[in-house]
Amino acid sequence: MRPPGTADAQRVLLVDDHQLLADSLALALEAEGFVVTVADLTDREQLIASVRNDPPDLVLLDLDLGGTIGDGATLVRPFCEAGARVLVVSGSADGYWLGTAVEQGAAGVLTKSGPFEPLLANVMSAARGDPVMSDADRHRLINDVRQARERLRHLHAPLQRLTEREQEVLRALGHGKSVSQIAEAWFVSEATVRSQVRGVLTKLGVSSQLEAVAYALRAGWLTNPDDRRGGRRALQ
Amino acid sequence: MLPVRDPAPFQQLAFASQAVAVAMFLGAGSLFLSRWRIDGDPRTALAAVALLVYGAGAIVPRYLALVLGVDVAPSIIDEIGTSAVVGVVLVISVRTVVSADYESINLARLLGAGLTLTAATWFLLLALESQAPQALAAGASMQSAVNLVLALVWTVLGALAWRRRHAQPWMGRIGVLVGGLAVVRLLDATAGSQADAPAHLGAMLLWATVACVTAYCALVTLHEVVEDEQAQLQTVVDALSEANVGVARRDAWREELSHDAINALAGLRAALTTLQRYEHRLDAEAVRRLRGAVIAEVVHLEHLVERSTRDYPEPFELAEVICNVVETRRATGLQVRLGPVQGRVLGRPGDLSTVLQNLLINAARHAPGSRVDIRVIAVPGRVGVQVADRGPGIPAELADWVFERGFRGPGSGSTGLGLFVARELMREQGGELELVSTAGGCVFLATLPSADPDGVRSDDRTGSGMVDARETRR
Repeated sequence: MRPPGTADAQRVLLVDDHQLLADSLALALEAEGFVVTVADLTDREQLIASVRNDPPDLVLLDLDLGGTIGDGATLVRPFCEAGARVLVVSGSADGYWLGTAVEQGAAGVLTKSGPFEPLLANVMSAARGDPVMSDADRHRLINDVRQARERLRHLHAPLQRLTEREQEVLRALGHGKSVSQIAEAWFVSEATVRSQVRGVLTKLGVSSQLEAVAYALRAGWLTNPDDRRGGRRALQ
Repeated sequence: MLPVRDPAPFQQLAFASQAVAVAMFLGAGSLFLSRWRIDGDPRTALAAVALLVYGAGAIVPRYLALVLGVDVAPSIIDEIGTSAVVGVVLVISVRTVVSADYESINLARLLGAGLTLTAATWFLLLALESQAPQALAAGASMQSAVNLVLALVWTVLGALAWRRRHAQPWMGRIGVLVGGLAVVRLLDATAGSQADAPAHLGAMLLWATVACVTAYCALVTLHEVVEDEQAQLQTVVDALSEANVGVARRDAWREELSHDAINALAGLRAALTTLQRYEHRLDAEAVRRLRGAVIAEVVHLEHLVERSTRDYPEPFELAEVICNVVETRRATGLQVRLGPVQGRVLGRPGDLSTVLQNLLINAARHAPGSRVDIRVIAVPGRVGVQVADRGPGIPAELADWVFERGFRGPGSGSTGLGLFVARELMREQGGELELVSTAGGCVFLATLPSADPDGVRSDDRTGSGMVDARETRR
């Protein structure tokens, strides 16, 4: 154990929006002789810039960072490029998300939901530069994510073949609008909307409006095209 | 009547009309059968059978006579056919029009009764023909008599149906059509047995018209039934889509709750382990802060558990909540000035009440003796409640911290918790709590999504609620 403040003390940056965990971890690591900074999460660009100017030895990164920064996985690459090792410490068990972070260059993932002592021990060994995750585990995680992404892409491909108007029609149907309501709202004839609906059915390879809506929901396309949960469903 | 007339074209036209009428009645019967397949209503089946029998009956007896080799005058056969068919149709129609309990109708029995009646009439006429041919040879009076009787029967049936038109709209239609049949028979009665009489042609033309109208009515009702069916299907589709969206929302909500709980537990575990392991190495201030934060976190966790049992936001009147809170606080001696309150919002009335109580208690604590102003203001798509005290306010550099949990607060652990909980409560119902101004007293603004009564923006509302929930995830 090194006394605090020595020249070769490992520097750790904590990026977590949960204050109690971040502060406890910081106190524990400081007591273990690390130099710890708890990141200010008000400005994403500023955070990246500060890491770039003075890269710490290790970044402990939470993935779910709330409103101002959002998805922590997007920080992995800039941090790695700045020369820091990134260790994901997350409460999420979302394999797709964790895998994405590893794919982006994270050295490993640790879960918050478990005893604190092993978490602390793992963090310390990572800060000293020891490997946190075997290469096989990393590859498996990355592989799973790529396969899930492939399945999702496959599911989304027919939806992307829809014309803009057909996508709008499908969205409206998904929100419970009828053909006549759509026609009325867009000032077009019902026949026009019907032909667009036929286009949707043909391209998705389904036989009814309900089936088309179910397909779009299943693909996670209707609620939010960028929904992470689509990826998780594909992974399961 | 035309001055010079050639009987042949009249007769041909009458025959043609008859053919059209038969075809139309058969067509109407088929349409009613299709409708019955969709609505499963026994009345529809009865109407279909009556029309098919009526249409077929106009040709089948003559065909039967031909097949059986019975050598009788065509006009007599017509009368036999007519009475036969009318027998069946009458029994069915009377049952349909008079009966109120359609479920108990037994179609097979009705058909049997009608056919028996028909057979009896037919044999009676055949017997009359063999025993007293001279009675029928004259023909005219006999045929007129049959037609008159039929006209009378149709009239009675039509009137019966017409009287019940208020109970069932389609009864009115049947009444008119059956009335038309009565006129047809009446016209035919004046023609006697003369197949070339203009009255007969008129009767047949009218008959064809009635048949066409019947077919048209059948088509219209079939269309109505199909539209109804489609509307019902659409309702099911709508309900399913809505259920889907509801499930997605509930899932997202659950996920957030469990995510928050996992984080809170992780924080507690980390803090308690750190305290246990490093207490002797940490300075007293750090230990005190950490302990305060642990207590705050336990409160937060408690709040999460409580939250999971709560309902979704619902539309409610702002006035109900605000007036109650203001009255309670006034009772404790707080001076409150309340501006005009109107607006419907989407949220949880109980939680808004807690938040306002919190703000007023806060004002009473930090600005003792000062008057508090409450105003309702409209923000695009939302409604805000502004609570302003006239106390010393908060130093600007601390304004950012007022909503943080006790840990980061300026003083001891006792401050800040109320405002933190208040903001959480607002955010989880899709609203927000902000400190708008700190100069010359604190001005807090609590906003909630507006509940548009017209429902036009209901989709947008759902959407923005989801976005808010996502943004406020911790």
